[in-house]
Amino acid sequence: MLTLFATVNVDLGSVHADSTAVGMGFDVSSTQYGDAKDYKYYSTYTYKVKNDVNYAIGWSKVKGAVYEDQTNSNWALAIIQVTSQPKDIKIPWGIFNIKRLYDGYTYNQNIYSDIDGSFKNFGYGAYITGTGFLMEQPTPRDEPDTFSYTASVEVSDQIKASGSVTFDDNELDLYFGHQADTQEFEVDYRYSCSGFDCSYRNAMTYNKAAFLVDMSNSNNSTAGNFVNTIKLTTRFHSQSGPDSWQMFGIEEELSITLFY
Amino acid sequence: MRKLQSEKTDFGYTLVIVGVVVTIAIIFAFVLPNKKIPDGLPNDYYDIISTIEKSKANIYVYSDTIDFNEDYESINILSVEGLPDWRYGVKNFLVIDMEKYTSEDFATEEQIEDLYNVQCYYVLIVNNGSSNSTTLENFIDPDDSSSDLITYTYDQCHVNHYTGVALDDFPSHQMIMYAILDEIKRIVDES
Repeated sequence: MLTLFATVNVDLGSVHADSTAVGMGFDVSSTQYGDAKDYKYYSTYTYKVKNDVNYAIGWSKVKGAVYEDQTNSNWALAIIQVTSQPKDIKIPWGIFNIKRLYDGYTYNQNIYSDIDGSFKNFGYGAYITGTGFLMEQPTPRDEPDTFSYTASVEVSDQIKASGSVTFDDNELDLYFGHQADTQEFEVDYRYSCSGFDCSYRNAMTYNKAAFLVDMSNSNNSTAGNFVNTIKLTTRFHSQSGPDSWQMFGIEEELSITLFY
Repeated sequence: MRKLQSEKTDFGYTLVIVGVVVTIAIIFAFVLPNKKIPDGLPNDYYDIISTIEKSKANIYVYSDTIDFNEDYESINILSVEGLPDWRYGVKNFLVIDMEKYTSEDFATEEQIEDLYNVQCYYVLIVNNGSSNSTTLENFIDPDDSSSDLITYTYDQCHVNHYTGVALDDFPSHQMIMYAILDEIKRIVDES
């Protein structure tokens, strides 16, 4: 695993940062990228069914914005922020249906894209998750922190690298992969305990990713130029109580499609 | 011998009385003060309500069924006429149940747009998908119309507005009410 620091068209220190991007923890130059062309989020609860009753054990969200490069319309910049919130809940359990605490936690969040299953060329570009940005991650913290969040990968006509990063407190491991031949892009945020402290994976957390899309070969749709579809999978587990013995937890999928 | 039996009986009565008193005390101490969370809802139900109450947000609701179990006192309205204009520091939420919103007696689409875009209301559209409503067909993006909870929100009013769409098939009316409160709480927290 090799971590590369991509030099991309995201202005790292811009004083003209777009406020939409700032709200998502990014610093995107409004001079180069203008206003977001598309900006929205999708969310869903994850349920565990017991005795025909749905019990909400988690909530996840994927929020995305896309920008057109004002200096080169062949490029679009997509920024993604994903959120996970495990929910503690009492669920009837056992032969007497006594309610026990389902102490939920996030096992991982996975962002995946195969370009909506089409044969659209993902294009050459650079993928970056930012370095030194004011981030909302990891939470909970009173203020966004300036972690050195340095996973990035540069993609060109040849695969150069895939990157991996570990946060300094070891609460979140990030795995990143891209396969040009199958047009796949994937980043996996895996939650882990810091020593005996597992509070982080019980909290509401935010992860983010960004990438450039080659629009010179973009698809069209009735909504405009199709940029990308991202699939988010969030997996919740139970730390104690019902289902804590289960290995795989419960997964929930969301997808977001960005246009302009 | 009779005296001994009488003393044993008195002791038994005393034990029973003490037991009953202790049981009642335990019930008062641990059971009654805990309000019951509706079945299927997470444990943070009352924490969410408490956060919203402390925020002093105004939640205006147009619905026959969304009452938050009277655990949260929203402001029920029959028309958008008379809703207060934007004022600095005040967060106003408008929750519209599309099961009820079938005519312009409540509001025109232009009035809803004005409340969102000009008066900086956060607008939550509920039950649009399940009711197959077309009342706000010009306001709601066709891609979002099948959702039962659409949030019209912003990072900064008049600057960067955007929508949030819940993709759930909400399993119960209780869960929809919870999702509304949860969404409002997040907006209160993040703004």
